Amino acid sequence: MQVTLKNITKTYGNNVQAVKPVNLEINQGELIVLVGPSGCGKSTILRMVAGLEDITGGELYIGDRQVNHVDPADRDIAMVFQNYALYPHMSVAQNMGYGLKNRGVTKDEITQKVRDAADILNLSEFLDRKPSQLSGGQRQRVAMGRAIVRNPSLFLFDEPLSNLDAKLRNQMRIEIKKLQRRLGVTSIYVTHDQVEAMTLADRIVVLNGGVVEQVGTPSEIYNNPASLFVASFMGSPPMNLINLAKPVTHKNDKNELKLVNKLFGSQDHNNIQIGIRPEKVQYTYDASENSLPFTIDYTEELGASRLMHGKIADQSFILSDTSETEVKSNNIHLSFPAEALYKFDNETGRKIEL
Amino acid sequence: MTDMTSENPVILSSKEKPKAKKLKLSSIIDHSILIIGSLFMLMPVLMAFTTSTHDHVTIHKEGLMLSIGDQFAENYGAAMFEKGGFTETVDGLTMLMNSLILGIGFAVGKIVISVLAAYAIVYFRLKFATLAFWIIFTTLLLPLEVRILPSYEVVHSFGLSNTYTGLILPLIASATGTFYFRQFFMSVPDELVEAAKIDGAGPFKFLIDILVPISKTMVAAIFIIMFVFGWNQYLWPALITTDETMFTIIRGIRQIILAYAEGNNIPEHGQAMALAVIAVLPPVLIVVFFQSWFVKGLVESEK
Ligand SMILES: Nc1ncnc2c1ncn2[C@@H]1O[C@H](COP(=O)(O)OP(=O)(O)OP(=O)(O)O)[C@@H](O)[C@H]1O
Ligand SMILES: [Mg+2]
Repeated sequence: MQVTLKNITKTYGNNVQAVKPVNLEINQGELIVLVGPSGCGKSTILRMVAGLEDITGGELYIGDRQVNHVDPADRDIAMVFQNYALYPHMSVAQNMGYGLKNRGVTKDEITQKVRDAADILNLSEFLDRKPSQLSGGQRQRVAMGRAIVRNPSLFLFDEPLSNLDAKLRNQMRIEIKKLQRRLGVTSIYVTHDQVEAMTLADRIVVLNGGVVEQVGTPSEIYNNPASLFVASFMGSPPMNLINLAKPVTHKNDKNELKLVNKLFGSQDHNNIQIGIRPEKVQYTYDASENSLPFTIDYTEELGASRLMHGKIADQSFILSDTSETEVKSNNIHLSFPAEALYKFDNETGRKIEL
Repeated sequence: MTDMTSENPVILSSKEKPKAKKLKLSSIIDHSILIIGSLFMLMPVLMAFTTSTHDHVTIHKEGLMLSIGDQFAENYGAAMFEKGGFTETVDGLTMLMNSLILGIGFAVGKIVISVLAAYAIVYFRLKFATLAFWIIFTTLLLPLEVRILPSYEVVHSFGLSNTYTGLILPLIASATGTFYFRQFFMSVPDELVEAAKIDGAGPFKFLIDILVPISKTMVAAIFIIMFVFGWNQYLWPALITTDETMFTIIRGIRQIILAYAEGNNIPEHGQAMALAVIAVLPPVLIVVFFQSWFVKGLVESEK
C-alpha cells in the first residue's frame, strides 16, 4: 500500500511544534526508516500514521484513502512497540489472535492463521505460554506475530529492538528485514540507531528537530549527505568536520587552517566546514606537497579497523585504518583525496556542491 | 581516614563475643513481645469459643470460661437454627445469609463502582478528571457515620428501608477503592491501550478483556478488605433494617442478648458467644481462601 504524508504537522498541547511540515511518499512494499536523535519527532510521526495521535495539520493517505480521522483499528495497520506491549494475561496464541477475534473472524480461522504466523516466526512451541514465560527475543517475535497475523497493509515499528542485547538485535534485524521482504508489506520503522537504519532501510528519512533533513537510500545518505547534520549523524565514527571559520588560538592552528584551506582550494573560508569520512583519509610517514602533519593522541583498536584520534586546528579528527599493520609513528601526514571531500555552508548547514 | 578504616575491624572483633550474647537476649525479648502480642489478640477469640460451649447459667454465674464445656452442640444448634428475636422469625442461618449478601454485595459493589470511576478518570480525556478525582478523594473525610441522617432520609424516602438494596447501595461509593485502582491503572503502560486500540478493542472491550484481568490480584485484595469491612458493618444496618428477617449476624449477637435480657430470664450468653464465633468464621475463611489466590497471582507475576 502506498502511504503519503502531505505537509503533516504536529503541535502538542504545550504549544511545542514537535513535527514541522513533513512531506513523504512511501511506495508499495518499501521499508522506510525514520532516524534521528532523541526528541526529533520520529515517534510522533509514526503515531500520527497509526492514528494514536491526532494530526494537527496536513493530510495523510494510506492507499488512496485519506485517513486523518480514521480510527486506528480501521486503518489496516499493525504496530510493534518498543516494550512489546503484549497482553500479560493472555497466552501467546491469544495475544496473536486478539485482533482477529475483535474483527469477528471465526475461531477455526484464527487458530489456523495464528499457527501459520507462529510457523514463520518459530513460535509454534510457545503458543500456550504467557508472555512472562518468554525471553525478550521471543516476546519480540510474539509482537511481530501479532502484527503479521492480521495481514495488514502497513507495518509500523517503534524502536522494536532497543530492549534487546546487541547480538540478538543484529539477529532480529535480519529476521525483520527478511520477513518484510517475504511479506512485501509497506513498513515504517523508527530507530535512533543509525546502524540499524543503514542496514534495514530501502530509504532513510533523517529527522532533526521535527524537520526532515534528507530522504534517500542508505548509500545516498552516507555518500551524499545533504547537510552538516546528516553528515555528522550517519556513520560510525561520524564524518570529520573541520570548521574553517573557527577562531584560531595557536599560530600552529592558523597554519593548519591555511593548509586545509589550500588543500581544499576554498575561497571564502569564513562560512564553510570541510568534511571527510574517517576511512577516506590516507596517511604517509613522509611529508608531501599536499599533506598535513597529524599527531595521533590515542588509538582505538576495533579488530576489523583501527581508529586514530587526534586534532587538526584544535578540532577533533578521526582516521580509520583497516590495514593489518599498526602505524609505526605517532606523527604522520594526512592526505585527502579530492573526490572524498564535502563542503558545507556554516549558516544554512546545507551541502555546497564542489 | 585511613586510620579509622584500619581500626574498624579491630573494634568489630573485640565486640564479637558480647554481641553474640546480646543478639540472643534481644531475640528472646523480641519473641516474648510477639508471643504476648499474639496471645493478646487471640485470647478473646479463644475465650469466646470456650465460653460458647457452656450453658448460660454457668456463664452468668462464673463469667467467661477458659475450659471447654459440654454445651457445644446445644448452643451452636440454637444459635443457628432456633428462631429468636421479638418476633421469633429470625434464626442464625438467616442472619448469616443476610451478612453474606451484605458482605459480598458491599465488596462487589465497591469494586465495580471504583473500577468504573478509576477507568473514567485515567483513560478518558475528561475536562475535570483531576478535579473529579479529588472530589471523590475528599469523600474520605465524609464517612457514612457523618452523613448518616441525610443518607437515612434519602434511602427511606425511596422506600428502600428493609431491602438489600437499601442496605448495600448507600455504602458502595468508595474513595479508597477508586484511589487504588487509579494508581494501578496509571501504572499500566500506555502501549497496552494503544496495542488494544490497533487490535480493534473499543473502550468497553479493553476494560473487560484486558484491564480487569490484569487487575485481578488488585481486585482480590480489595475484595478481601471490603468484604470484611462490609461484614462488620453495624451502624447502617441497625438503622435501615427494622424487620428482623433482614438482620445481619453482627446485629444479631446483640439482639439475642437483648431479647432475653428484657424478659426476666438469664441472657443466653452461650448462644451469643456461639453466634460471635460463627460471625468471625466467614471473614477468616475469605482471607484464607483469597490468600492462596494472592500468592498465585504473585508467583505468576504477570505485570
Ligand atoms: N504527549 C506529549 N505532549 C507534549 N510534548 C510531547 C508529547 N510527546 C512528545 N512530545 C515532544 O515532542 C517531541 C518529539 O517527541 P517524540 O516522542 O516524537 O521523539 P522521538 O524522536 O520519538 O524521540 P525518542 O528517540 O527519544 O523516542 C519531543 O520534544 C517531546 O518532548
Ligand atoms: Mg520515540
